Amino acid sequence: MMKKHLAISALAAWVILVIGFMMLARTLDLEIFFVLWLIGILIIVELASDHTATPRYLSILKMVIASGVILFGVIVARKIMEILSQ
Amino acid sequence: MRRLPALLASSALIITCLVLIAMQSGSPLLYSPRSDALANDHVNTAALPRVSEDRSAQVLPLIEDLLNSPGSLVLTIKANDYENVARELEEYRHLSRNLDSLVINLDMTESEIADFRKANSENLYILTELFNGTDRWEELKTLEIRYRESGDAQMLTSITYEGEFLRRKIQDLYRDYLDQEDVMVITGKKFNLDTSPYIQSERDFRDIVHQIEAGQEDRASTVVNGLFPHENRYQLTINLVDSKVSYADRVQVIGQILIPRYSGPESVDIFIDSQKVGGIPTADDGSFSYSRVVEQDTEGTHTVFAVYKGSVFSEIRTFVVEAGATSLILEPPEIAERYVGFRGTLRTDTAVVGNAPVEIISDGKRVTMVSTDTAGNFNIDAKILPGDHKVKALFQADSYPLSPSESVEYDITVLDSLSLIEREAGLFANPLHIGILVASISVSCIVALFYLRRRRPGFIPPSPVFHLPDSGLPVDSDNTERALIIPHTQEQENNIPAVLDVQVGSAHWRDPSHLFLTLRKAVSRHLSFLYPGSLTPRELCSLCKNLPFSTAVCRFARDYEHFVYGGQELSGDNRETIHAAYSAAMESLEGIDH
Repeated sequence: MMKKHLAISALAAWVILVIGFMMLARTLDLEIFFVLWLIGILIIVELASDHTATPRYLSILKMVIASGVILFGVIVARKIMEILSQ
Repeated sequence: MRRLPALLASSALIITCLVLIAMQSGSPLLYSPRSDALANDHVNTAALPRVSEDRSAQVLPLIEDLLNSPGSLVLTIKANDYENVARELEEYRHLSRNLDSLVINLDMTESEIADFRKANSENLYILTELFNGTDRWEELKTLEIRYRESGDAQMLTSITYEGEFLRRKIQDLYRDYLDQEDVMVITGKKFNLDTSPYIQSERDFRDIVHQIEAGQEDRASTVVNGLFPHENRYQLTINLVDSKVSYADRVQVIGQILIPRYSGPESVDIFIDSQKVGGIPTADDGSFSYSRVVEQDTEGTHTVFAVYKGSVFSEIRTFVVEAGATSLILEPPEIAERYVGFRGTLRTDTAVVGNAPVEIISDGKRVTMVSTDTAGNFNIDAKILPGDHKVKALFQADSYPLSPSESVEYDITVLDSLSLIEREAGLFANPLHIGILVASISVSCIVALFYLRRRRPGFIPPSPVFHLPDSGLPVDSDNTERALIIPHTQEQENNIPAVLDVQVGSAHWRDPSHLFLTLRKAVSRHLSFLYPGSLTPRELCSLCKNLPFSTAVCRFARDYEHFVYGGQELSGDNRETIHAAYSAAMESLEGIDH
């Protein structure tokens, strides 16, 4: 199986696992889901990437991860403000 | 091997994430009380009939046992076998707990099962009280014999009055037991069970009541009229103004004591349900009056009698406390920053209900409890988690002669503190918030940029290395290291044939690809190039730049690309042209070698 297909399958399995646990726990939280998705895609891209060449799909995924890191920063800022306001 | 630590770290991270989710969800894992009421599909009415059929198979044996248990228990009580009564009562209690667990585990919402469970719970209470009452009744019979032998008139009278209280209580229990008949029998018939043991238990219960009534009447007539006629010199009489009262009504007892040589005010003790409620001074004519407001008196029959100096007893009077309806008014909740304010009033048709407990319910779960003040009002701020909730107030107290009631239900939305800030003052009104947001976004941007630009540490392949023809094979330490790093390089060099030439008429002279491979090997040998297999014709040309044979090699590369990559079939002239270029390049190389 191609590395690309493996990465897609692993990411899908991780997301389904997270959603499944959240549904079992009846705690569907978008922020937690986003953070767990970001962790999953980060690990998968690191495992799939090669030091000799970077396929185009991995370059796109890295851009997505960079955007996710910025969004994660916004979430952290909101949480800090929420804690300070209590 | 390099990926093993990464895989281990990933596994540890995944497990940590799952554990964190599980911890956040609380316990139990599969059922969160907080989210229970939020689930829209919590009750699927379409599936209920089918599910009921499946569940009935599990509930049926238990219902049958619960229908039979009261009959056996009442019969054992009737036989005064108190050791077995205690054991059977414990078994009955255990069966009732099993029913409660089964109803919760199977999530049974059918009204019949809920009613049966409630009636069974009531029966358990009734039979427990019947056991306690009959046990005490037997003790009184023993004490009566002892005091009768010793001639203790005071204690005999006390026993008689306590017996009267027990008789009233057991009569009430019997009436309550009959009230459960409809639910128990209807449920039993619905499941095609034999309900005759339950009907028989009612007859046995009635026999117990008749036995106690007969025994109490005998005892009362003997004590009052037969044994102590001399006590008639003192006469203590009482009467009740109202024999039926409700909540907030006044129970008024009036009486008079006649003493042969009455010299002044005396004190008479009033007992309600065998509990002393106060000592009342008499007037000059020996009359007295006692009254109190009905508040925390349970629904049902209550007994009253008076005692003078512990030796003169009045007759026993009874009054009935009837249950009254209540209305609970809850004003719209006031949602503040951190709390939700609940205000309301509890009252009956005629009066307010003071000092009564009121529960605040959110999504079916109790949030807090508050007591009403003397005016029946309550006011409390409760902390409720952010989100959408359904809230109401509930009054339910067994110690009051009042029916349970609940207020109207309100849908409220509790905002989290950050949403409140955004709504009230705007997110960017506080410079601190702006600073936090800017700092966080800046840091995340730097991290994202670092992530995009970073290079992973690890093996970097060596760049192409070549040597001028007069320098020979690499002998310096750096190149030796590289040769060691790539063990197959030496093997590739060994595969280059010793004689690199293709003559006209030979087997491969018309094959341009073979000519190119041969020339590439020859050039690589001259340049001591380590990786010839990856070179294209154009790269071969660029490698030979500024070398004496570059013109010939580049000419071959140009002709080769032109004819081979041109997309047309090669003609004989094209092949000869390529071979001519090949020969010129090889001659240039051979000229250098020689």
